[in-house]
Amino acid sequence: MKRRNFLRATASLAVLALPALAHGQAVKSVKIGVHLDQAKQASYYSLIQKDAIDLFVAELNAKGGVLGVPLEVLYEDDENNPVTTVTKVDKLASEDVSFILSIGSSATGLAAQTRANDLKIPLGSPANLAEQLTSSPPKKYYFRIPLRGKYEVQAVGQYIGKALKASKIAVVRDATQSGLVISDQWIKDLTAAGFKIVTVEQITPGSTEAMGQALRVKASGAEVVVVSGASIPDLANYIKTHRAIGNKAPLIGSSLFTAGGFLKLVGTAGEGFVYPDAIDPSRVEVKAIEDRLVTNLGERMRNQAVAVQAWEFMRLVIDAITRAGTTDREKIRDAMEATANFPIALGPPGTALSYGPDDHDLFTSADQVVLRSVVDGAYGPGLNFR
Amino acid sequence: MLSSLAQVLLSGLQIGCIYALMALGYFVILRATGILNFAQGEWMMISGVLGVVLIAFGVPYYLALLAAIAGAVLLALAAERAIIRPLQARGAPQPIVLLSLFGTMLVARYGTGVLFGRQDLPLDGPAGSGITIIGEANFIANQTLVVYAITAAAFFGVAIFMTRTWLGRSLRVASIDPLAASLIGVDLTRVRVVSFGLGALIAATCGWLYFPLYAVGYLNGSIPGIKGFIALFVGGMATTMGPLAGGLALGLVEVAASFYLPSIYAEGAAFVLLMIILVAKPSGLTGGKES
Repeated sequence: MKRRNFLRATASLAVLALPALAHGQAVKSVKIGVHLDQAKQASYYSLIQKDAIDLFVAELNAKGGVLGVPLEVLYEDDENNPVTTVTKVDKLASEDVSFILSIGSSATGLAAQTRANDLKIPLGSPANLAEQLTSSPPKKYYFRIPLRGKYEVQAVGQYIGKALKASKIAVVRDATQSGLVISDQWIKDLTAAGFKIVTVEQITPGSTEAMGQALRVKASGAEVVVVSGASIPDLANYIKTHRAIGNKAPLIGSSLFTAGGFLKLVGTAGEGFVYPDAIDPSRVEVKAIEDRLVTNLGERMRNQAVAVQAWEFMRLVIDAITRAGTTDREKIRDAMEATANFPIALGPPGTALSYGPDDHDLFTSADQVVLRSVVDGAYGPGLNFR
Repeated sequence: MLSSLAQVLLSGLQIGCIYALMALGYFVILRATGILNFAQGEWMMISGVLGVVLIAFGVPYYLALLAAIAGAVLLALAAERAIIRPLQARGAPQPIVLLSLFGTMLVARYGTGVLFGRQDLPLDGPAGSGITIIGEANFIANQTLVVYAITAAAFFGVAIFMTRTWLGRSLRVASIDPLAASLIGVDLTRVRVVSFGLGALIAATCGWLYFPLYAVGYLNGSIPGIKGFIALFVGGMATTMGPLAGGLALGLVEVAASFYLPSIYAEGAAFVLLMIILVAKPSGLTGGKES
């Protein structure tokens, strides 16, 4: 063989052998990539999830890691920007991660999902809510466990119909872009469920009170007021004004109100406020996770549903990697999809997760949604209304 | 109808005073230096954030209030010293100065988010959180009375300063003709420092009026900052009455729209009305030739 042909053949063999080397050689660590918002609007819940993930990984590695090697988490700041997210997914792909977690906003989660699907990297999210993330067509490489908007609304509808026996609803929302998108969906779903929306009131972002809106809600004869949106200070101002003018109509919100800070802002006006949640704090499994988070990271981790969700999603991913027995992305994806009867601390007691080829969600019915209320200035246990 | 009109006035003047004070901060700097300081909303926000932090550390309320306002003013002066002064010394064109202030705004905003956290938190007002219910559907918060009083005092003080003191008159002269001003002995650097300091003082004080009615958070200086900017142009820049008229008009129109129109259209309607005002009188409500 001529020297040039020999070199060409050697080079070709080397290129062909690269993928095998990547997954066949002894790995020093199992890598998981995470894209998150480090400083912008989604950073509040991104960073809570990051803290939970870091603690989970520290505990896992102290016990020997996964597949006999440490678990390594590579974080990338997506700047809450879908375009940036795509480049960060590319970067994580080049760093040979076996799985990617989306813990930023749903918008960046969608961008990451499209790119990861193209690159055939399994990914998923503990907390992204957007319905289209798992709606048809099925996303082969995407898995998630959070509440889904449509079941959240259905559960609230069940509560309004069965527990409150009401049919006339006022919707109060903030005029931020996210607030409008979220509340539009609520209005559509509640109307489809047969409720009459008697008024829709909108709070200008940054307003110092909401008297005009509160008076119109009172005059509308609404039996229940649904507070739906994205800006907690604006909606908290409405709730305070609603109480101040003596409106007795019950107030119900979205899972947004699980975000820390709401109770402090709303004060005593928040008493009795009902909202849907992914977790029931009375479950022993939830309490065990929360106790670990609070012990290690402080009181700020109490009542943070997204922290519990991040913890549980990590547990799920590690279970899939262990069952796959490899860092190979395709095999991990298959193992995720084959997850069956995995006990999980989300939803009501006894909830177990099973995925399938056409189902990559934990929440598949309104009956899995927990409804809670504010009691004595704190988030209370799940309500029994079904 | 009369009852709701009274509430429109109470609420509209309340938020209008906030917008007017923010506009006054822009006005003082713009009149003295010709610079539109984008970072005003951030000095307001930082004042509130520092207040929450100091109170959490057990600092007595009024000491925390003064220290927080002083901290925000010092940061504003540091930004002037580190960014604006070198740029102006090198003869940087105005767009570059504006761009640097825009950068300062972003660094202050997101830097505060990193250091302080992203949670919205309450801040008690100087008069507490009490509300007085008047009649069936009217109310006034104790904080609202503080807002009215501080706004009146601030505008009165700035008007006296700008018209009755040599330094205040220097600020006005410096913006009209900087070269002539320096020839008659006006120290332009001093003028710039005083205007940036006074602007920041107004914004930082405004933080203690606004945040008790809303929430302290790293993003929460942006909306009052933008509304103050609009109020400045609506009111006009001829005199200190311009920011006051613009702020109150914006606040009243915004609240009236939320009372008397479906609230879905309220914000848009307020801006349409304000655009009509500007089209009819481009120099603003109080604008004369000088504006």
